[in-house]
Amino acid sequence: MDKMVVEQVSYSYISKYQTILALREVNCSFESGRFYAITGESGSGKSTLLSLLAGLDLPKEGKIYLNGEDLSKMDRDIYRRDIAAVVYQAFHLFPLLNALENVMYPLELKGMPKARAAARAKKCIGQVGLPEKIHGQFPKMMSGGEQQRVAIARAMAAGGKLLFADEPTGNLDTENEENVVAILERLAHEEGYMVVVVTHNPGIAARADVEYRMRDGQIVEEQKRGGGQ
Amino acid sequence: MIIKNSLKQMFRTPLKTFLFFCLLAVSAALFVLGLNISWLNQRDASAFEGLFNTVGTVEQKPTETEIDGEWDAEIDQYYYYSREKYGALVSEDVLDFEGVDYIHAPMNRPYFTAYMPDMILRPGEVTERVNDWLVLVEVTPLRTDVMDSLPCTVTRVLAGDPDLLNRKIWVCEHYNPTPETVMETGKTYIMRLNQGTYPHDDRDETYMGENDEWEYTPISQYASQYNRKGERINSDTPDRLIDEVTEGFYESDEAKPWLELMKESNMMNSLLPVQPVDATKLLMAFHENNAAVQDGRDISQEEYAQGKRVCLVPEDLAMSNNLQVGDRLTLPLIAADYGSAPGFAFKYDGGGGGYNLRNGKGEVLSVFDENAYEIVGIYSMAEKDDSDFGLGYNEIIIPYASVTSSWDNNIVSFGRMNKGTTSFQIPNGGIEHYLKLWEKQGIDNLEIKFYDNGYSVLEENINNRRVMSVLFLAGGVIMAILVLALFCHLFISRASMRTAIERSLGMKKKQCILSLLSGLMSIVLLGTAAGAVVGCVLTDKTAEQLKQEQIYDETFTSGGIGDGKEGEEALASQQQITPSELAGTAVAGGILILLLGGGIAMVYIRQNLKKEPIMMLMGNEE
Ligand SMILES: Nc1ncnc2c1ncn2[C@@H]1O[C@H](COP(=O)(O)OP(=O)(O)O)[C@@H](O)[C@H]1O
Ligand SMILES: [Mg+2]
Repeated sequence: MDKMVVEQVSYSYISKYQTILALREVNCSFESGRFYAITGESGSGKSTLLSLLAGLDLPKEGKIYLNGEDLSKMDRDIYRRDIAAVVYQAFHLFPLLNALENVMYPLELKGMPKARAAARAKKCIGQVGLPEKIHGQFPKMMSGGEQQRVAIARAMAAGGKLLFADEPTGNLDTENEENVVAILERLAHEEGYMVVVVTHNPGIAARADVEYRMRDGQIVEEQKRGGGQ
Repeated sequence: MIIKNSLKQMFRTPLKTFLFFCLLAVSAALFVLGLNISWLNQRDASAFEGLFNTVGTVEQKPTETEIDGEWDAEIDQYYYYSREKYGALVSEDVLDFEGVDYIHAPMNRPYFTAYMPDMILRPGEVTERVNDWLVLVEVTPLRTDVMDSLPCTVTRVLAGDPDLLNRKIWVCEHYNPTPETVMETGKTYIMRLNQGTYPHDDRDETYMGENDEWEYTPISQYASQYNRKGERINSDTPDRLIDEVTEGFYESDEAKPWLELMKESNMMNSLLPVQPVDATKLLMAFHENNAAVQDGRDISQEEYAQGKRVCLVPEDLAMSNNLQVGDRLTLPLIAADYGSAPGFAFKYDGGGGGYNLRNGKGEVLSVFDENAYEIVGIYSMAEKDDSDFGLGYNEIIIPYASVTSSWDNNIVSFGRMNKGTTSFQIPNGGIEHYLKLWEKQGIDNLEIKFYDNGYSVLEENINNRRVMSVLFLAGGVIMAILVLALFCHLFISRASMRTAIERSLGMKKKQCILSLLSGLMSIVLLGTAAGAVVGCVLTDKTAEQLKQEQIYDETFTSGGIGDGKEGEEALASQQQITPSELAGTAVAGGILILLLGGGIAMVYIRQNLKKEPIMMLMGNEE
């Protein structure tokens, strides 16, 4: 049973020319076994919040706790490798590795023997509804939806129990969208994952246990739908 | 696993990877080639440096020629000939000018004469000896007359050919157009005679048969002595042509110069030249490889510098006196001659100028230095040569600094600097610089000639190769850097997203470095290795090419013994590059490129790792 608490978190993108304040004193919390949606207009800070949850950077101010432990004091390499998994809006597959190799990558990184890693990767690819012939294909040869599903498979395969997804269905047709959402729901409700999804899609948001609505880097609304236990 | 994935990704862009491999191989080949050539240059240059000596000779040139006449009784008229005039002696000090860098400064070397009556100096049949044509005799004239071909009977031989006793000879003041000294019948006279090289056409057969066709010329008591500056020291005693021998004459003062002359004449055939010098190679015979140490060794530079009592003796002298390397030889030095090289007076065929051993007062000189010298080497000559570029007969060579006693009172001859007496050594390759400075001195009656065994030609060759190697080296390095930079950009900077993804999957920074580096460096390794092999092959080809261009080996080994061989061997080895030597430079060059590659790659990788992955991964754009 994991619990994440976001406390007064602010974040800004600092470049040579400008500083963009993306999050302002955000407070929220997440628990295992639940399916969360983060909604809001484009540019409101959804992806940024998700990235911080995934440990891709640390908040400039405020703290994020995992089970009471400050994320900034944890080994973030281990956090990323073993605990959190991310599905990006732009997929971010390794362009020179084929689908199977992409999904196997985090498994092999953990030191899993090749055969076992391949078996598990194949299983995950099957779970996101992709045919076997996709195994040998490189990202460039796949459609957006296929890439997205391989990315989800890779996140699932990694085995972390915290799953963060940025617009995971943005490029999918309704049928596949339904598949993916079903998988995410199942992971949350049946396998005890903490699933956090950034989405524009009101339909998906409606199926979330909790919806955080954002505007201008702040959470402006929290809706609980009581689906979770 | 990281390495395997890295390689896998590398080979999934085969064209790019192959291009990288090829370009890198080309730059590595250039680099290794340049490295090999410059290494060869280095080796050759230092190997040759020791074999070559740049020696200069100095000769004072005549300022004018003048016509001189000398009475010749044979043709009964003056015999005219042109004679070169040198003016005042130029000192070697004028060569000590600003900016010169001598290894051995120019010195008008004397040579010494050792008086060694116990040595066998001319074994076997002797052709001609000094004593044979210079005799000291008492004669009585057959008629009273001036010595204008005056027949005389030899009544006593004090020095020289004993066969002359009781012989009738012609005596003629051959070079005097107006002979005035009268000899009277019944009286006995002492005189020094030079065996006539002029046949006497028998003008008066009443006195002797046709057998005695040679004419003898009386020569005075003349003795020469010089000081260190080359100034003649004249004695105030009269320089007599003849003296009447009367009762008790040999106890008188007049007899003394004649007795000294007798003593000198009897010493003549026991003299040998001893050449003090600062380096064997300053003697042109050795420098030009006409003479070389055959047994034992050369005198070392330390021995020369410290004035150790060691010597080199000629093979013939060693043989006839059973001298061996390691033996000690006591050298009683009696005279110093600044006038000419030893070969002028000590000739191989026995001829040569008579040697003066008396001071300005007509007294026989006494030994000024007598020390035991260890024979360290026995030399021989390819061709017996007693010219200025040769050596005197029986010439012994010793370190100049080993003679510590002063010979100021024993200088019997002095002359201008010439190529047999004056030489110096400068660093190899310094001729041009030297001559430029020399020209500025504005001294035009000294002629300086350089002998460098062909070093200049070699130097040009080596310089050409140096330029070539630098071009290859620089070309190789620059190309390697450009190629590495380009492909690091392609394989690393353009793969910064890959690093970000890896980071987001929890790969440590070190693992990310490994992931980027292993694939890249394996290509660098392969490319460099291939390039190094090609570079070695090219080196071989280039060396072959260079071999054909080499002209200097001829110059270097032309006619000679001893060092010539060494040179030939050096040349031969210089052309050959052993595989292990090649491998050495190839490996060194390869490692250098690998390090370069690693270094450049790390700069790029550091750039990739600097950003937090969030910056890369967030964003909606594909
Ligand atoms: N890599 C980045 N560098 C600079 N600014 C960024 C970057 N990513 C996002 N931003 C800015 O941060 C703000 C929040 O962006 P984001 O979290 O992506 O919003 P959302 O996902 O809701 O569209 C926006 O103003 C956006 O322009
Ligand atoms: Mg976004």
